[in-house]
Amino acid sequence: MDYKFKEGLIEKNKKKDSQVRLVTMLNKTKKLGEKKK
Amino acid sequence: MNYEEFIQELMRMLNSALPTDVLKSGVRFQLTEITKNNGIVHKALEVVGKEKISTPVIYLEHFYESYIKGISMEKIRKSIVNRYLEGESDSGIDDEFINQNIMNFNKAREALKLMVVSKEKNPELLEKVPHREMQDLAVICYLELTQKDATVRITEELLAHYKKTFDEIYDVAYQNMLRKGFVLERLQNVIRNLLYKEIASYKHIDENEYENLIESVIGSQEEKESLYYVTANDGRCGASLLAMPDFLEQIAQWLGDDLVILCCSIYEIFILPAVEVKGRYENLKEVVQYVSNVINREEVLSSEIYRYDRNAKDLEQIKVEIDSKVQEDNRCRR
Repeated sequence: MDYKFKEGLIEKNKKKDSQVRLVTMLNKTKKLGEKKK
Repeated sequence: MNYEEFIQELMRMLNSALPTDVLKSGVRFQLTEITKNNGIVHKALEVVGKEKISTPVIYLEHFYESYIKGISMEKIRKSIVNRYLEGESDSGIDDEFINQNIMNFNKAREALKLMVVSKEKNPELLEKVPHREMQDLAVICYLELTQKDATVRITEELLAHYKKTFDEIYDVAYQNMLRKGFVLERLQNVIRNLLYKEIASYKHIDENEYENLIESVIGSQEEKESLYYVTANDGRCGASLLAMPDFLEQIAQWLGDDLVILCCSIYEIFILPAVEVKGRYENLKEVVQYVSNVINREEVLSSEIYRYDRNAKDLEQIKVEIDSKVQEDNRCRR
């Protein structure tokens, strides 16, 4: 739930799903390295 | 009922259930639209007519999903009223908090930070929010309200209230971030630590199994990948480091090379020393496109690649074209 006020919006932070993002990034770059070899 | 019909029916039920004296005072539920990062628009409810600085905003997608799963409209109505009452009483985000922490510049200045967003995906937002342009990106300022786990973008209205120029606010945010520094670590190590924390909760797995499991995801300790994870030491939107030449220069000096930078999400950037890339820009572009298409749309920053030239002290976008079939495959992941 967020909160609106005249000058803007207070946005409650969502949980960061870092794990999926970071593992995908590492695996995709690793695969590219392997392809190159 | 489709989503639009659901909203209409919900509004009718919510307002007709309000006591007459409340209705007479002008208080009622009203439909609103909230635009989040990357132009994602959410329909939401707010309460208008109360003599308060702020109102909770209740997003409706989740309630529609409950309705589709078979929850009755009456239960949903009650749940929204309860959510609203909790938002008013339990969050601690009230008039006093807003006046002290947001409207009072002397306090707010400590919470000022920079955030980098996509210029292309935020045309509406950037009409209302002061910003600096940087390649295909825009740098905005925001308040990081750590005590409430929340953020507030600096709007033209807030600037006017503070009686400050955007340049003045930007400088305060920049200095705040400079003071706190940044985190730079091999991505492998970051994931290793994340996984250790996760796996540690499974008591039936012994230490060797830990290592095997982790190696299956990130490779062995001997395999040193040269991809670095970099984020702000304090601040949720770690990709703002892109807008901090002082930090990019330090990193380039430490790695002894120009930097190739990937920034799929607003939370962090990934850096490779230029020598490791050996011109494989097309391949890297495939990676950033892929990752940008599998993460939450509101978290996406860019599917482009950037290079920091340590001699020129300059950041530039690398123009790379990739195979149209690969682009289409990546888009289909959405």
